[in-house]
Amino acid sequence: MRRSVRSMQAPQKEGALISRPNLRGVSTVDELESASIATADLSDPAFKLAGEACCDQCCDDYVCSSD
Amino acid sequence: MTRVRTYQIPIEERRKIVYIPELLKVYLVNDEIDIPEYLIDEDYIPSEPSRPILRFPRCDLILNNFCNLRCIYCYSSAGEHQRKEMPLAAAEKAIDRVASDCQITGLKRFGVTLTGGGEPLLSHKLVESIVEYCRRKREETGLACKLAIVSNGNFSAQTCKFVTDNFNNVSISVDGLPDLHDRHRPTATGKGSFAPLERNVDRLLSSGKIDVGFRMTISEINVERLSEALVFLHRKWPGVVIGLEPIEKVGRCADKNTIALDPMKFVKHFIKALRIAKKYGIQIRHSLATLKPLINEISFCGVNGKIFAIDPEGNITSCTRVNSSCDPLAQYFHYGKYDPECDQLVIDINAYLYLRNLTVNSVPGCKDCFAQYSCKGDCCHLKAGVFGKNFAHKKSPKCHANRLLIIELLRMEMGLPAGEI
Repeated sequence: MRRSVRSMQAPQKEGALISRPNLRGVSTVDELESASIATADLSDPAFKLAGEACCDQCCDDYVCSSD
Repeated sequence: MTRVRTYQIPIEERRKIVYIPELLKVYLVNDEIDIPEYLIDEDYIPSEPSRPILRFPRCDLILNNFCNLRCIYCYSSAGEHQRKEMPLAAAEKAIDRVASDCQITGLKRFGVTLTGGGEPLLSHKLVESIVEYCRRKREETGLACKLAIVSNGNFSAQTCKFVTDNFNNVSISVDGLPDLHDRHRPTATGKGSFAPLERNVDRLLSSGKIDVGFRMTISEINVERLSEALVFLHRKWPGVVIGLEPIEKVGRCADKNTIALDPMKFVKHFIKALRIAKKYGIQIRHSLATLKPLINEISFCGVNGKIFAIDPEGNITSCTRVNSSCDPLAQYFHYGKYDPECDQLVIDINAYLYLRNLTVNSVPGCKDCFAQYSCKGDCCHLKAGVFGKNFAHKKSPKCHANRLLIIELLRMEMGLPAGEI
């Protein structure tokens, strides 16, 4: 799955997170992950956003001769 | 334990996107949550970009400056100047160099791309000689060779067969719907160029022997029908990857405000097209729309000492758009020349080292920008044309539009609706 969307306890509702003081501020990526409404992992192989094939980001042509 | 940089982008409904480029991660959080500029990540191990000095595994050979088309936006104004064609000896020296550098660095394959300037396939004898030289070099070194060519698709059936028999990749310039393509890309005699291109793309794809890619240039003329054009091309030739780039106001379109494209308008239609492409499974590419693989790249393209291109005059250039000594920007992008007297490619080390520094790190205004990982400070050719000698330290003239484009990419990947542009 490219994107993992996790439900928290009514996270969209205003003030939903106020009762969880440990989430008011985060200092690690793991804590951010826990506090997030949704995440997207751009390194997932299924992620097909533009630019993937052109390692030089060549602006003139699509052809890429590198490995 | 490593710290990673966070970038926070406020969005609607009191939420924000948190982007951590180093981890290739995006988070959607309520904006009440305090997030510092840096977060600790126990597992992250940063890697340094690999930037070998003066080692080139591939070269671009800009064979000539003449063309059978008169595209209204051609950056080279191909067909307007005295005809020039690369000496075969210069091409051979470049191929010698890339093959040798691959052997030194342990790579198994060298790459050669034939491009313009003009239309490379008009230099048919030269192309044949280069192909033959690459074949001999493969046998001599035991290396593989990836041969690619950029073309306008207007060539004979015989030439088409030669291309399918001898090249690994071909990039065809096609500007979308036939009527708009023909307006963009008339022949030298004023006819449309789509019909011959169509026949040749059919031949190339039906051969099953060559990878075909499209390169679409977007102007004020075709921008509003971009999505329609993508679907048209996809239905006609499914599976072909389509590269999209907006026109730059250089060459033949330098004075044509009627086709110049407002960057914000491009972003608006590009984002719409990107979402449609995703829906239809169309693979598209755009130089700024990169999030995934380029975290260790620090330059918009290979201008910073990676591009090894030879122009028709034998100049070594780090920008394929700067392909003549007559170009005022040659002083910034040329870093050597083929010397026929000693039959050598002579590199100007000081010029090369200057180019090595053309990275996003040399642009103070990009230092704290979330978009720097995709935009890399944008195209140096564009900036040199706008800002002159101080271009290396300037932000892109399209900075605002570029940032919006990256935000829209992040929104799309988070499953959010498109923002208002």
